[in-house]
Amino acid sequence: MEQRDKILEVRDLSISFKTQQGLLRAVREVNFDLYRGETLAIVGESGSGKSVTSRAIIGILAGNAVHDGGSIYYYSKDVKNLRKFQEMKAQEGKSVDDDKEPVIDLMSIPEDDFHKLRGSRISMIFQDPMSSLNPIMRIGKQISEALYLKMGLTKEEAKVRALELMKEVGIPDPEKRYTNYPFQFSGGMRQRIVIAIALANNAEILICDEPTTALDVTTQAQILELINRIKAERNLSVIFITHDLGVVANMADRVAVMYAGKIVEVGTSDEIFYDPKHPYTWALLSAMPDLNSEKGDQKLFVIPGTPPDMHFPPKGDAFAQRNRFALEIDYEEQPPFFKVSDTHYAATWLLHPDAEKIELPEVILKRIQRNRLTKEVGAKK
Amino acid sequence: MSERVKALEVKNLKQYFKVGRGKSKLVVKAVDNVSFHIFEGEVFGLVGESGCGKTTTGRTIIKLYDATDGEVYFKGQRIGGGVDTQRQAIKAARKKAKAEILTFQPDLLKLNEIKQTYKDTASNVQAEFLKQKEEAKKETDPIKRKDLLEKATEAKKKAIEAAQEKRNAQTEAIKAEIKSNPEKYAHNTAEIERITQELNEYIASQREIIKGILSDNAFRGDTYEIMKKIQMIFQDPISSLNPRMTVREIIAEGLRISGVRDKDEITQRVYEALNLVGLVPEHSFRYPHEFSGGQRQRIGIARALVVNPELLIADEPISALDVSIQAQVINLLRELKEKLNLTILFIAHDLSVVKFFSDRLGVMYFGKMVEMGPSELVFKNPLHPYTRSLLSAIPQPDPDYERTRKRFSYVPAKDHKYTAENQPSFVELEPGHFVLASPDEVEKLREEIKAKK
Repeated sequence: MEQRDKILEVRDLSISFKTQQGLLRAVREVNFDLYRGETLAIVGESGSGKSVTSRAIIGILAGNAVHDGGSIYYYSKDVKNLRKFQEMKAQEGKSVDDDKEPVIDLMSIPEDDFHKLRGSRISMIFQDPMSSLNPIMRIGKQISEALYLKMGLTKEEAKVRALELMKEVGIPDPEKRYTNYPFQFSGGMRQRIVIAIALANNAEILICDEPTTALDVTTQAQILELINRIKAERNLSVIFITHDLGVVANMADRVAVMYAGKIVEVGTSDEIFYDPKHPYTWALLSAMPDLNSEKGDQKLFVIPGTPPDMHFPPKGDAFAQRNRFALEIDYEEQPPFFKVSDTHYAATWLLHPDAEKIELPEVILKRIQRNRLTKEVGAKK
Repeated sequence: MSERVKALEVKNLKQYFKVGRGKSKLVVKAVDNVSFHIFEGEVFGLVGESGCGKTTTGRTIIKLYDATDGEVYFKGQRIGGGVDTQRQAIKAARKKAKAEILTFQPDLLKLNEIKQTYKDTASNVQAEFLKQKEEAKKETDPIKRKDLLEKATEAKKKAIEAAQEKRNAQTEAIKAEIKSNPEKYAHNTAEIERITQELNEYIASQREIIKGILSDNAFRGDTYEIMKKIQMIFQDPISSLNPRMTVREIIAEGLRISGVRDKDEITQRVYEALNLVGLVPEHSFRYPHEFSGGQRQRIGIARALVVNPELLIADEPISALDVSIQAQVINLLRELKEKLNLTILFIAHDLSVVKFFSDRLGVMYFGKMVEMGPSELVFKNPLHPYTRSLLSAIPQPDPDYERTRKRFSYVPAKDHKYTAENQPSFVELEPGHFVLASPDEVEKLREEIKAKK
């Protein structure tokens, strides 16, 4: 595989929140890379830290967040404009322009530097399109605002550009809709507007935080198609956060599975869906019925227990308590990442050479087989 | 099959809402002529996108709304319904009788004719005026525009005045004629009385029916007793539980309202309900915010179960929950269904879950039921284009499948060619499998089914 262009590199990122009960360890030493033009899906239960990670990337963590360590490296020529970067280079006694591969740690730059990146280089779409739009501002203004505040366009230019954007995200009759208020749009249309705002300044990283959870299946499909199309057209790098594995299969090039503030498995979507290694990934995959599953008398697989209280992160593997394949060492020591293939890593002791080999759970095996069968039948046709 | 007892039967249910005022007044047909039944001990899934009326159907059944029309039967007893048909029938009968009576009143008939002619002329004049006004608006020169508008107004005034004069003259003439010739214009009293009598009898009979339905509708007597057997679970476990009530109060509320006064009995039954849903009695003095999403949904289920219902209306009980918790709640509902022999109306938009959970299902689109049948059959062989598009829109946890999945959208104007003679109706194409289709489509679908076999 050829060396791909890295755009983000998250290294040992740890974030906690100060709460009345003490420190809540939301993200614990998370590592992942994001390449140009790819979609990375982050999956996990609510409370697993996937939203916190993405909010750290765009620099909108809540006020009580504590940065415990780690970095988010951002590879881009744009960082040359940042004051912090220029200071850094000056200290090293180098010129800014000498740097062939400028890179900066997003966790270390001050807010006024981040302001230059947020929205214009890194953008985000939120779950609820009703609450992320201003209900008493016409949507035309909400889109063009981003343009004249950040790009320095005049209001007239901004309007022209905003109309183009509305057209691009598939809003019929943009001229007419320009002066409408958010409540006059349906859920899917609102999400399209949010996407238009996110793309207004030609961002290169788009973070989607459960963008379709509040939408219907048909609207969801349209929005996903829209994101995919725009991603291809603009060569965007997308971080897609969701707990719907069907959506992941549709969108993702690579998948990272998060549990209790840690990434437990990461791989290409084929590897995660057809050859999952971590017991938590197995559990997630088997808890979900799909269209091909028989209307069985068998029960759906349920992950026993609840996620651990992250005020007191467990000593060993956080998933051990709920894992029926847990080994003794799981309670003692955190598993390191074991390499499955060049792109596929999983943090579970089951992959240790000394560990007993465990077969995939039956539900998943059956599903993979069934899917293969339907595919073969389809191919013959 | 025929021996199975129908727990719930819904016949031609309609639920209309009036919205807006004045010009923007509209009647929204949230549920339009929906019929289905649920056998005892069965799970019936109701699917469709938001706004298609599936929730409204559930709410009308449990009488959170007053039905506009149609009837709802629970275990063979009518528990509710609407009276729109009867009211419309009375209105129509009145109108018809009035027209009939008029034919036996020659003097009034004549006068009416004159009035009608005047009305027609006046509306013609108004239409002409509006047309001129539109044309005047196109004129760019403001002075010319004003001229044109004034001219149009003047013309309208003149035309109306002329018509009024003509009408008055004619009326006078007719009145004089009637006075001079009273026999010719006498009323046929006997006929009029006969018609009035018939009308009154008809209205009385319809009113009797209305009274019957309305008395069944009221929460009294038998209806009250039987309505206790229907309970509902809501979508959002946060907003459907009162944050200021303890779990015990929340669950006991239904018991108290249904007339249980004994404190010990209430406590015991609350504990039983909690145990049923996998919570412990110690939880009963806590408040809803102390529970996780899945546990809160369990409280909602316990609240419904405490009065020993036979039919459960579950309105998207899992849409607001995480994947792993969804599985828990579905397993719980399933277990309870077996244990308590519940009948469940399961309203959802997640088709994968509906397929897993329900025996039969109905697909709704814009207030109409478009397809209904055993789950297996509907999923294996979807007949209505809307069902097909819905199925094609669901992403599956299978990357290979996703790469090749083609979504087709449903555009009613394109997918159907309905004409006045070619109207759709609800037809049974396979045993138990109904679809809303016009005669042309039925033929096509029949051939498709044959070809598949």
